[in-house]
Amino acid sequence: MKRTAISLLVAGLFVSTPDAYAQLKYSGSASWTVIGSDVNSQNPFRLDEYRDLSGGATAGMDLKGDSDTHRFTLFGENIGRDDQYIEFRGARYGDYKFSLYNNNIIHHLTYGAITPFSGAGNSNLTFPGALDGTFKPSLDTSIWTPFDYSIKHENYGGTYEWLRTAPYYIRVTGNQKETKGIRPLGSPGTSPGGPNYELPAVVDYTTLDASAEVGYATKTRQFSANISWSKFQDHNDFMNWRNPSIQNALSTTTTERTTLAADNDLWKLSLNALWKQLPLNSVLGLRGTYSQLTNNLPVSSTGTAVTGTTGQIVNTNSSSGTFNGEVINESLSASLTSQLARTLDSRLYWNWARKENNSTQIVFRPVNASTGASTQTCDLNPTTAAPLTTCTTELLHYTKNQFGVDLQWRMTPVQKLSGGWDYTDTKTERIDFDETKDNSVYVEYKNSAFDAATWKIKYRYLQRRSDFLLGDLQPIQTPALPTGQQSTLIFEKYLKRFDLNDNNQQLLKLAIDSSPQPFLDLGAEVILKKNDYQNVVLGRTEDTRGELYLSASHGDPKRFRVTVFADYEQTEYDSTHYQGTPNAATFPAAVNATTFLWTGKVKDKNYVLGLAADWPATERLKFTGALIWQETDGTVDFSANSAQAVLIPIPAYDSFHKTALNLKGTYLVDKNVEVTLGAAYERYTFDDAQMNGYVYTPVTGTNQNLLSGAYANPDYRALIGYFTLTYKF
Amino acid sequence: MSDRSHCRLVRVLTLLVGALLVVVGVDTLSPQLATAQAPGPEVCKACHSAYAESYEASIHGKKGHPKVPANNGECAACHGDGSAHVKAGGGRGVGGIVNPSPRSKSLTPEARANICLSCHSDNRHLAFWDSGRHRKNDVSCTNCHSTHGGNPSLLNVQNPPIRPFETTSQVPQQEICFTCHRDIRALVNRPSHHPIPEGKIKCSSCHNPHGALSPAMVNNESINQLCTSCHADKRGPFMFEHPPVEQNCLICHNPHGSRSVKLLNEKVPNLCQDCHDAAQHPGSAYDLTEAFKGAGGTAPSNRFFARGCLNCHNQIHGSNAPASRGRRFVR
Repeated sequence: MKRTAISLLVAGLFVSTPDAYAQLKYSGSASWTVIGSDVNSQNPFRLDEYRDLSGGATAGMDLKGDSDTHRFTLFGENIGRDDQYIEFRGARYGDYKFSLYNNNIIHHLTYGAITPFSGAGNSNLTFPGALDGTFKPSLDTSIWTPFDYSIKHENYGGTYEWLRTAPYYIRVTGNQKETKGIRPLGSPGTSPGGPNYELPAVVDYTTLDASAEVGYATKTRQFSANISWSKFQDHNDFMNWRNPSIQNALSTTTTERTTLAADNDLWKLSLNALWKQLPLNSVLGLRGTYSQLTNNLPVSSTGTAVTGTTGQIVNTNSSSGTFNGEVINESLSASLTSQLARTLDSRLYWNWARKENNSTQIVFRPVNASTGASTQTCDLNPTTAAPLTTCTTELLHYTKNQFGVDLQWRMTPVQKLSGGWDYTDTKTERIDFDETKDNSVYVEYKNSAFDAATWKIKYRYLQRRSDFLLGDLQPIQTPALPTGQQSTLIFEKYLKRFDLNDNNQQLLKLAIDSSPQPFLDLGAEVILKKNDYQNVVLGRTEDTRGELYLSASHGDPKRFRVTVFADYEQTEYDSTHYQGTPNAATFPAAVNATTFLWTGKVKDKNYVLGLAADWPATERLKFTGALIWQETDGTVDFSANSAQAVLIPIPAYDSFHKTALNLKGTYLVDKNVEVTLGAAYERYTFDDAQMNGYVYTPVTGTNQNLLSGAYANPDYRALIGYFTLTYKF
Repeated sequence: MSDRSHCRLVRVLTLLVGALLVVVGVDTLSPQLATAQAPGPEVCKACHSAYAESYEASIHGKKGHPKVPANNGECAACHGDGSAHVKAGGGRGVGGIVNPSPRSKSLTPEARANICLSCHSDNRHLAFWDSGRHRKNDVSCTNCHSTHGGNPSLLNVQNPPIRPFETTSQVPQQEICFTCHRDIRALVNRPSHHPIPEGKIKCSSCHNPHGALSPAMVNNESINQLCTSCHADKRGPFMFEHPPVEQNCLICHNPHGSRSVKLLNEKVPNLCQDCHDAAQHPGSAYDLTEAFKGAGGTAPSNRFFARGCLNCHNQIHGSNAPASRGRRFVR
């Protein structure tokens, strides 16, 4: 009876005949787990950032049905908890396959945040400051409202693939994601230089995704067309909040308005084609995509400005009352792999992409609503750096062309020499920059001549050259630029953005893998990388990276197997900057306590040790353990070209230590019942100058900042115990 | 319908069918390879019982599936004709038996992959296998998959996973990838990471290990389109755009993990200062004096403590606020 009921249920879901499912053989398990934890922490968000470790019970299941023609799996874990996952998948061999799922992802950002604003979790934030006539929120943090920064994603979706008409197939997918929670959002009360307020911003999104693909797939040719649609909806367009910097009557009548994520619609068409068994045993792959991203939103006609503590209404005088966003992305890709000779393989490839931004271009001329006078510095003149009272949205476009070749020569059956060249040209439209050309070459040698070891070494050199439109100077000669190199153009010309700047990059990799005896695997890898930015006056001058990875595994998995790794990574980022009033004509001005050139060196050392073992002590009893020990030491060193500028190094910069130990034993009571008892210990400490000694109401100059505690005090120590009873059938 | 119209329709249809045949070729009309007359599982089981039983339980052993080894030569489909092997009384490599295991030195990685591709080359997931990095780097199917079953994706996890206690019991796909991608393992273990160890997303959520035309074998034509397929709130279009955001998310973020919050490549304000220096305040040296408990007793800077630049520039991915508030990404 029970078997028939299950068969009918499954058959109904498969949309097929019950008879076929009556032949299914069922197996699987159901489990009940109890978790308990003892956590010592002010803000243990790093402990359960993505895990629901709250004390209590949960259930899991793993039900399988199997026959010569059909199969299905119903899998679920953490049922009823924030990280619940359920998937039902099945197939009739050669006819169709499908899956249905629910995947909940919790993302805890910070526990125990506090705010003087009321309304955390919705789109209107205010405070009762006017009651005492101060128009300010209370600085007594003991009466602030506590809340958690946390976001939960709930995904529901499925896929269906029709294969009966092979080689033709149809595949459809659908997914709905609900995202809800609160995230930290900082805002200045005045700008520039004003106090900042950390606000609990509401997150309430719905994303709908759907796609359909038809295709034809054989061993020599494949073609497919895929159309997809994605609709993102934010159920709050704006977050309105009372600005504590405004302390005149406007404070009680007008709120600030911060824009939240805008709704959007994305349509995409993809076409793929593949031909195999062409001359020279070649394979040709092609892909073309076209997507259109659109949105439509009103442009605020008013805003606020703050002078001192006096708020004013500003008319934004936008050239359009509506922003119609449209971004078109197009791409074409091709790849041709060939066997030029018996031991020589090649690959030619080409990737082209274009982004076109056809959105409404809007000009703003903000003026005081009462007086009509200009109220804000909207932008800077690109040639004189003079303040502008208008600002115009800049629509970014780019076209990217990439092509290259890879060659592989099997010198002998155990030696391979590879090499290649890659060229990428990116053209864009910006005031300061319009083109980047990347040339990259690499050579790699691999040797597996030794019975027990394979090793390979790779070297890559990348040269990036860019067109900066505001001038291109030689490296700075401190304390002053050579005569003739001073310029009346804007100060921005001295600045080179690291992602675009001329760069000579070198990469060296050496890896060895060895299996000197059965059940013994050894591995080692060294990676050295250097970015040497060229002609940098201001910006990142160099970054280097050194990495070492060691690993070993030993033992028969049926008896005892242990695996261990050790990682070390060191990075350094060097940069040069200018503190002082920007003035191209006098740069760099005579140095003193407040005007000087300075360099920063951000260093980071990471150590990780990992160890894990599986020990089936008897046929019924198995022990498993894992240990990870990590430490990162981050520092920043400074130097300045002024003796009067005393810069103090930062001894702790995202430094942390983490130890995680997990031990468990599993005992098979009988053929149906299994019990697992486990314990985990985790300890995390964080040391960072930006967060240490966290203050919720710090004063900077005359500015009263209001913070909420986001990411503060994350140290934790936790003991977790768990017991699982599993019934197998 | 008149006869003339009927004839025209037949001609058009004939042409269309003919064109289709030219496009798709005649390979679909080819019969399946004849089943080899070689020992099957009932013979192999005598010595390799565990392998034979796991094979029979796996999808490869399902008689109802027309394309699997069960209907196309059984064990011989992957291991070759074992007649000589049986006749010689067995033994590793004896009688020309084929072993597609990655530990086997008798086959090149390409030859091992070709055994699987002899059936799977019409799999749409493998369409761009030849273009992918794995083939180029001598990775073959059996480096990651156990052809004898074990879990739904036939993943071959050999080593005990080195990871903290997790609430998932799913097969940790990443452990297979970390066997070679050791640098990624180090990043995924950092405090700021995608929920990969927690089993909520997998390496294959972003990458296609079976080959792709895109760089890094990502599952989309560009990095940004890949990221915004989940992070749809960052798609825009925005009135005021931040240029690096529009070009490549990886300029600021490392999706595999970071010691800094939000998967940032470098800590704020240094990351921002690598591009912003002159205008207004970005060029200031934010040293230890700017911390909450700054050295020297000076007032700290709200451009440094807590979330640094993001204390004010909260809409750094783009803003739809008007005028300078949008231009500066502060509303």
